[in-house]
Amino acid sequence: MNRWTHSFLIQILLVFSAMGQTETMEESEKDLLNYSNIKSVLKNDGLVEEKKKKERIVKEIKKEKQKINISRYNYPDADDFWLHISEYWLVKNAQLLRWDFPKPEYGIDSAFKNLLENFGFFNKHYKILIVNSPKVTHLGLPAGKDRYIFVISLPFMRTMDLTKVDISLLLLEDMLRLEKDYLKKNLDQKVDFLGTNFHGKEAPKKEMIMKFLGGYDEIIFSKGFNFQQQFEVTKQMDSYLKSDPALWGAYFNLLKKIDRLIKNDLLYKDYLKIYPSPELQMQWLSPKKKVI
Amino acid sequence: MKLSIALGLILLSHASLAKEVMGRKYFNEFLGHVHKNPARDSASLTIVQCQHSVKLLSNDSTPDGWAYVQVGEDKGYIELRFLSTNRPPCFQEKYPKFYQIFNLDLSEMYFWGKLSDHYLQGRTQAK
Repeated sequence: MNRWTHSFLIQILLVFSAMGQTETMEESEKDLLNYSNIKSVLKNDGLVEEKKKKERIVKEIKKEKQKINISRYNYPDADDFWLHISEYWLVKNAQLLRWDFPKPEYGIDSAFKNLLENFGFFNKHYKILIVNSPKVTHLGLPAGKDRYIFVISLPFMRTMDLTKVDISLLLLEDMLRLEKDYLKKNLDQKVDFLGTNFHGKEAPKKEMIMKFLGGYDEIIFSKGFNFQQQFEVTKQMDSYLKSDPALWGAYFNLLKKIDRLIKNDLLYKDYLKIYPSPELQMQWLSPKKKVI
Repeated sequence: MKLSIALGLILLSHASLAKEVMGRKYFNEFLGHVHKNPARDSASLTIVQCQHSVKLLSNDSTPDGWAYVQVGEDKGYIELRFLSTNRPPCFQEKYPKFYQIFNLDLSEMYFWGKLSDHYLQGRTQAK
């Protein structure tokens, strides 16, 4: 092959390769132009709809996740709140009240159950804690709707030689106080946050819980219940027990025993501050003397 | 030969261990204890929280009303009434962020767990 033939062949190759490149660009241009065709094919296949469906599901999952995350910041409802605050108060006062000690079966729970059922108190849940201290004689703590926590002192029961019926009557009195929300009312703490949510707001602090516990301390150890509250509870006890003279008599004698105890035993001198007063309660129960 | 004996022993011990486990249940109180003996006043081996899954182990000497369980490495007793077949609703799970603010220390957890052991509990009939 001579030089001339060689250069001629190279030129032909260059021309063809240039022609090939133009074709490729044209093809890609065509591809772009035919995109709408592909789109319609995809539409007919339902792929676009499928994509939209998946996007909707992802959106819903994200929304649910957000909802779950927000619900983690819920304040407890009233039932859960009062149960846990009351139990936390018992935990915080475990050493003072000395309730962590071995105790035999006293049969108080079954006696109390019978008393409640006799008076038509149905579907009531109760927990009774016996404490080995005279610091608290008897007490009812809120624990939610139809749920009660009772505290009763072993030294108090022993000193007074209380029967199961006596104890059950004291617990019934405490239950009526709880039904009337006296402890909650006397606490004087705002509870409008219960059942709400604090997501994106300032988180509650432990001081808030401690404030409630401080309020419990004040009522249980020093402030107690007022005369009006005591009067109403005594009158309610009277109306329940009237139908059973034996029980009414037991309740009256119980008040008499407590009155004698607090007047003679210094250990129980503070009883009057909490529950004023057995002497008055007896007067409220006594039938009025007719003046002729 | 030695290897097959060792393998046999491992399989045997595994089989006897599997035989012991009777199932799983969930602890249903806020906090509680696994006791050394089947008695409320018996020493605590460990503290369990609500929804904690416990292994039920077979033990012929377990008295009525109690379950012999394994929690972690500890084997002990829990009262049957504190165990549920299904996951119970729990304060810790319902209000995780609010529960955090209690910030309970070990002694508080211990006493809170003891509460359910000491309560005399009852419920009047549903009307």
